[in-house]
Amino acid sequence: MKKYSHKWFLHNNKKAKKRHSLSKKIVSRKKSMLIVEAPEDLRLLENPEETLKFIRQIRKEEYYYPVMQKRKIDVSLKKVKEIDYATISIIKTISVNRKNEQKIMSFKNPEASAPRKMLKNTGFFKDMYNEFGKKFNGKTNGEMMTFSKGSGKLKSSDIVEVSNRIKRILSDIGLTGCNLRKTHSRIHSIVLEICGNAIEWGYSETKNRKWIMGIYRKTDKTAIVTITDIGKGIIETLNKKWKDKLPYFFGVQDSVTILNQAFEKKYGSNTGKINRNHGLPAIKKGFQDNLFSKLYVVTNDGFIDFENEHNSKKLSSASKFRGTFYQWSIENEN
Amino acid sequence: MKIKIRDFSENPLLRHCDISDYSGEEYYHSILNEAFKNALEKKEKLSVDLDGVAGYAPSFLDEAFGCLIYDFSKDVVSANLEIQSTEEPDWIDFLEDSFNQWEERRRQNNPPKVTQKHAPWWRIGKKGLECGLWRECDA
Repeated sequence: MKKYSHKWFLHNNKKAKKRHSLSKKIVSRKKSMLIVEAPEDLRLLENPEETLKFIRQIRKEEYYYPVMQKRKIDVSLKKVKEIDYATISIIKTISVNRKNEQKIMSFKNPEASAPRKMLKNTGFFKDMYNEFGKKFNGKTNGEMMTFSKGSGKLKSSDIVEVSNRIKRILSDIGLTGCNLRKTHSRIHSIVLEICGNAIEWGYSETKNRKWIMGIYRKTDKTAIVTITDIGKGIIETLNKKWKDKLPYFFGVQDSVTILNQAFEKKYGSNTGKINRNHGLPAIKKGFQDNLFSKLYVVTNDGFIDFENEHNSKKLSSASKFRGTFYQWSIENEN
Repeated sequence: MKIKIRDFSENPLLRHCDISDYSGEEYYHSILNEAFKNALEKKEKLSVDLDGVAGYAPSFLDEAFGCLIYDFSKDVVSANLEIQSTEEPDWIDFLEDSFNQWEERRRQNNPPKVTQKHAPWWRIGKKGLECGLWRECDA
């Protein structure tokens, strides 16, 4: 039998005590303040102020605590009674980017069955682990595709895969023939343009940032498409570039007007190349051509509802969204 | 003379060779430049069919046809090129807008970026058609 010296015992006991007190500390900190609670109504499009406040919270560094050389945040969706695809897309994008930064987001499922089912159906849990360390499995009605900025050369095979996934959902809602081809082609162009911007921009401060495109079959005849990028946001980017050139315009116009102008291609490209920045007008054109409906854009303090303009608003400073979020619907009217 | 972009790829991608496969830059240097020169020599119009692909990034079309304007001028291109699309005719309007911007760029001697080494290509010079390496590779 191995003999242990008194010195060895004291040394190891000290280490064990230290470990114990540290874990106790984490648990108590976790219990007292580190669980971020989501509100009951977690719908970005219906309840933007409260939802965006929650989204700002889960991005705040102060809520992350150290665990095994990583940092972790505990997010409770327990009380959530309603959630929409917009919010799910944004939380997923934050989670994917945090994972990249060695930060773990742990989610407690909602108690109510409707939001729990929604999270599962959208593919939110794909590539995530449950509390027992098992990967979530199961069929979903949606796809969440991750793209990396600054990821190098875009390969034909990458786009073919994304394209096929989009086509599958569009076929699932019953689009066929010319309707399917036109709608698919328009979404394909938008994805390509955003990919192009992402790759070219990716060599600067945005390197390795991930953005997510989601497509979800909401009903038998409706699909929702979302694009989420948690970068600077359109208004801040435009502000930075154009404020010196058009100080009067940027001084007096509100965010909603500036955003509307961006969708009308009023501002030049950020890289100085001609004919850039077509991603935004292409989305709006899809809406004007009736290929898309219910188009929303949320970026910085601007919330635009293109279908019901009276719903567009300037968000309060406590609910500002750092990034850009787009959502539109595709409906099979046949 | 008629060419179809789908014969180059059913999935044309982005602007430059250094950021994507099947780029506008590659299409121009491997197909469009030579085809346009051949059409000019034969005194025929070159017809380019945009249909039959999964979709376009505006940057692909802008680079491919923009380089053509830069090397041959808007007047020569407009008189000898026909772009066809029944599936997405909006791209034709888009390219008309793009042609004006590229002509302006040509006047200002602001050449397109070359991100990969290409074989010598054609342009209209003072003495007519000429073949050469007209721009340095930036890569």
